[in-house]
Amino acid sequence: MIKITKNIIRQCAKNMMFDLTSEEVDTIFNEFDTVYAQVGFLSSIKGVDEVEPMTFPYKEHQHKLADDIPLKPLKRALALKNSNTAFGNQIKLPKVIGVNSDVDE
Amino acid sequence: MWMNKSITEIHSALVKKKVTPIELVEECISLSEKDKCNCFEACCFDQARKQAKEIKEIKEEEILKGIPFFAKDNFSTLGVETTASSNILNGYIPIFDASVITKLKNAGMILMGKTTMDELAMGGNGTTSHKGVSTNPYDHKRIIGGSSCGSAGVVSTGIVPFALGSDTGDSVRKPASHAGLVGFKPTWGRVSRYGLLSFATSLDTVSYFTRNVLDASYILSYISGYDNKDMSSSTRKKEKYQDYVLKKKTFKKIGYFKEVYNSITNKQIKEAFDNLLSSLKGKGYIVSEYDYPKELLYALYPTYMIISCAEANSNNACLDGIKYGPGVENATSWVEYMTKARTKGFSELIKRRFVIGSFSLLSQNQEEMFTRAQKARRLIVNELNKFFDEHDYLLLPAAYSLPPKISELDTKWSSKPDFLDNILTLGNFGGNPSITLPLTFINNMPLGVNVTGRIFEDGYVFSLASEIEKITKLSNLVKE
Amino acid sequence: MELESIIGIEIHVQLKTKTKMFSRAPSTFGEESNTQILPVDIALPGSLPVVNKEAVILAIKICSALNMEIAHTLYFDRKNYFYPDLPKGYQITQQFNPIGKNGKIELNLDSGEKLICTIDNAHLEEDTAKQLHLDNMSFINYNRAGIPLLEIVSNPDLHSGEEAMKYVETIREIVTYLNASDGKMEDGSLRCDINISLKEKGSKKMGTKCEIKNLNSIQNIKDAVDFEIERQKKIILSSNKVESETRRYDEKLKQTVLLRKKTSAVDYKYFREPNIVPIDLDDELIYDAIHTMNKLPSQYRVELSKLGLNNYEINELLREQDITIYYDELIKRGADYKILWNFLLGDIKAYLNKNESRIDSLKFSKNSLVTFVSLVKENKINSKQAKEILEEMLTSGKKPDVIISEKGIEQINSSSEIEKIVDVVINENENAINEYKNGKDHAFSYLVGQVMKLSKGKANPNIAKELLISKIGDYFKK
Repeated sequence: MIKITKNIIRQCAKNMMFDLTSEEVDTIFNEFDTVYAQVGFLSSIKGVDEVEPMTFPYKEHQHKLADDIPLKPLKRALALKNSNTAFGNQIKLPKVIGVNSDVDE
Repeated sequence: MWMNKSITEIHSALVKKKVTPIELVEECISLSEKDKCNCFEACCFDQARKQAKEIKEIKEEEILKGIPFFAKDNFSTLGVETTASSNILNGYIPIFDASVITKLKNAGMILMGKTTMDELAMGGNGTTSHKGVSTNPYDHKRIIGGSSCGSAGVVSTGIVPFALGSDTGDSVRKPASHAGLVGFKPTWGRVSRYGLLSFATSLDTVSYFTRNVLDASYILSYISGYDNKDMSSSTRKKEKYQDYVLKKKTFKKIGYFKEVYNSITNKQIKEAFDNLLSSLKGKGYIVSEYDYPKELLYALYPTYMIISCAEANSNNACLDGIKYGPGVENATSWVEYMTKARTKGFSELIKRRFVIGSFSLLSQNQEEMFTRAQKARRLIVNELNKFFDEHDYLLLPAAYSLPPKISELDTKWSSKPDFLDNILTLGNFGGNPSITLPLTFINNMPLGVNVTGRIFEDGYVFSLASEIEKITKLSNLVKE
Repeated sequence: MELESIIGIEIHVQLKTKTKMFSRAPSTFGEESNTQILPVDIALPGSLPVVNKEAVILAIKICSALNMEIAHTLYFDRKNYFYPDLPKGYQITQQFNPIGKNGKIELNLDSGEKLICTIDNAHLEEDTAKQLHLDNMSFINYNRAGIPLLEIVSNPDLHSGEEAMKYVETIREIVTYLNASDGKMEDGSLRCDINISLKEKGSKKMGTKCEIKNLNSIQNIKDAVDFEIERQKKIILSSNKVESETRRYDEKLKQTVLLRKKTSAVDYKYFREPNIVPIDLDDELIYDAIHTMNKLPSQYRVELSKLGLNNYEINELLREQDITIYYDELIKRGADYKILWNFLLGDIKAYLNKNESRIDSLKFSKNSLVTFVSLVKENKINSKQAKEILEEMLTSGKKPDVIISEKGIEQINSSSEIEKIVDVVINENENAINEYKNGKDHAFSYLVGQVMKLSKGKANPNIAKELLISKIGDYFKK
């Protein structure tokens, strides 16, 4: 596990697309003692690593899949109605260039 | 005055034409205007009036028809602003109804508007809405509890007999205790989540407040069932849940956790709980103490916090200001655009939770944090299921002290979490049906008891709750 | 130092479904911007994903064709990152439990050798929105957001431009034959990212990888990979280090060019998609998917080679599935494999190309073509007549026997009738016969031509030739 630093907190925030004030960074940093202690506690629970992680509350699988029959799509005006950056038929953004774009499809 | 009555009473008055839907709507509106608890987000009174006026006749079997209700602000409501009490969604007008809203509308219920909540449902006090703090009608210095604070408020003060909430940790069942209400969380997957804004998907459950158990059972009969828009909704057959109450179909074996019982420090709570247990024994129930592992009780809080913060930071990644939400002026890059929108849109608490959630998912941390919490969840649920191998019901107080005073709150990650405060998360981890209803009054403040059952045995949970209601004689409580 | 190149390929195949991977919005290509959308495609709050059955079926077919183990329970995961083309802020994919794993395919190299390429996994995921970049702004069109993709990830078993090209070509052939994808690189319905690194031969230590993106034709793959291998070779041989980069292929420069340096890897914070509970696939669904698969190129290859077609002929035929199916059907109806191949890939294909039409729009029936082929086979018509008849069949759709009688085209196969004509020709062409005797081959062709001319083209040329040879022999014996 990574040791928390204020830089890592800032980096996490940046990756989550928001800025933190230095007070906010401090608050989170101070919260981490508690977080680490509790994470440590979880790891100390007897048998915790002998079970599979649980995502769903119970084991009941789905059998139904969606039929490949199109529903009527949204009218464009309706789909874009709530966008404050809609521009004609499109959603407009400042030019998207290489920054931060090393994303593997 | 009708809105302080139960659904079944209002219904029979409607059938007998002692009152009309439009009269109910007008009464509800005038009561709303006197709200002292800070319950409201956007309301849709005109739409409600229109719908009420169109109702000509109400048949005996149309239990919900013509009755007003409110929904927590995290349900997508066609044409009615939906913000989850967060600035990042200010001005967002949904273009579709949540499936549960559709079902209620189809049953003839009248949506009056939306209620306040902790921002994005991430809080338990009802104090972090962008509209400010919601208060407890029994004592405005105290919290009513959250995150479904506004919905608890409108039912508790007699504005409507029913309001939708959502329960991820105890967001309906805890405020129900603080406000003298019935708060019901169905089995996960029993009610479609389509249109409920996701907080922590694997725990989120469409839930609700009523003022008595029978009303709650009727509501589930209308809103449960498979929905082809929600892959996690169950294909199991839905039932007539009111029959469990009306025909008293019940199981007999009740258990409570020894560790929890021994930790109750408030004498009045202990006494009320003891009295309830002996009354139940008197009615033929078999009541026994159970040794649930203490360390797993202590694991409830960190497990809940890590799982919910991690899922929440991913679920809320769609809130980037591009497709909806307040726009951003003068951004020179997309990164700046999203960053400005999100920095402005989320409160400090939310950002703190997102950072920790995001940190727990990083590849270098995930095994130690998120995955470990998911493993702890498995242990917690395995042990709960062992309990349910021997018992039909888990019975526990829903709260262990009076609701905190607003001035004494702290939003920090709790360093010494009290498992009593987090005991209701058990029902979310296992997906179990779980109901809170009034147990007693202490210093004129209500306090609830909670019944949890096996998954998909929602009906049996209602039946025991109904028995308890008869013992405590605390139902249809309204604080005007 | 001897260097060895190690190549692995990720192919994204857009699946040919009517609706999107996780939404029932239409997935129609080429519609107006932002008109093929339902709430989940623009991540409206509260919307939830549903899993498209047909996408699952197509994926099973592809996985089966790639000889993969197919998962009977489906799980999905979230890949979390922010980008304007990703409406939810995460992509739903199958990071941990792909629908298919451990596959392999056989590649037929030009040398005639065969190469096995193993495949690590194939997983279902969703496409991103399409961006349009102008001078100072970008537009987002969500029509493409959510189109089903099957990502096929090979193991690094490939070593050259040709092998990389053959791999992609083979996958492309398979997905198009299954009708699971349009498989068009130029349209982006099949996209590949190629990872290339060099290492010392025999060494276990892998070199630094570069990734090539934006390849839009099969031929470009070969050129790009070969260029990239040489580029990295030069760097290593001059004792420099290859840097981890994403590169693209520039068609005009015929080079790979830097797109961006790969800095520290993005952490995608993968975790299980909690909105989609595990899906148990019915055995029947899997069985039906596998047993309704179209015949695959590899199966055709075996059969066609048994028929007697050579590699070149097989490759030419397999280029188009509808023509292959047509060919296969006519073989079953008894057509001669060689004559049919000649006419189908010659005159008929040329006609279709010229008219931009498809084989199913041919005006004549399959049986007409079978009749036609046997007329040729049995020498009832000569090649000139055959061309004439086929052209008429293509334009009018008439049956070959109808055309023959209408045009009075008939071959004279009776030796006695041809003999009469041959006798006339021999009597009238003393000079030519002498030239032939003196070794001038063209003289014989001339004599055959004369027979054909006298018979108005109806004489069976083979009979005519045989008779000429024997008659000329008799002539000199005299």
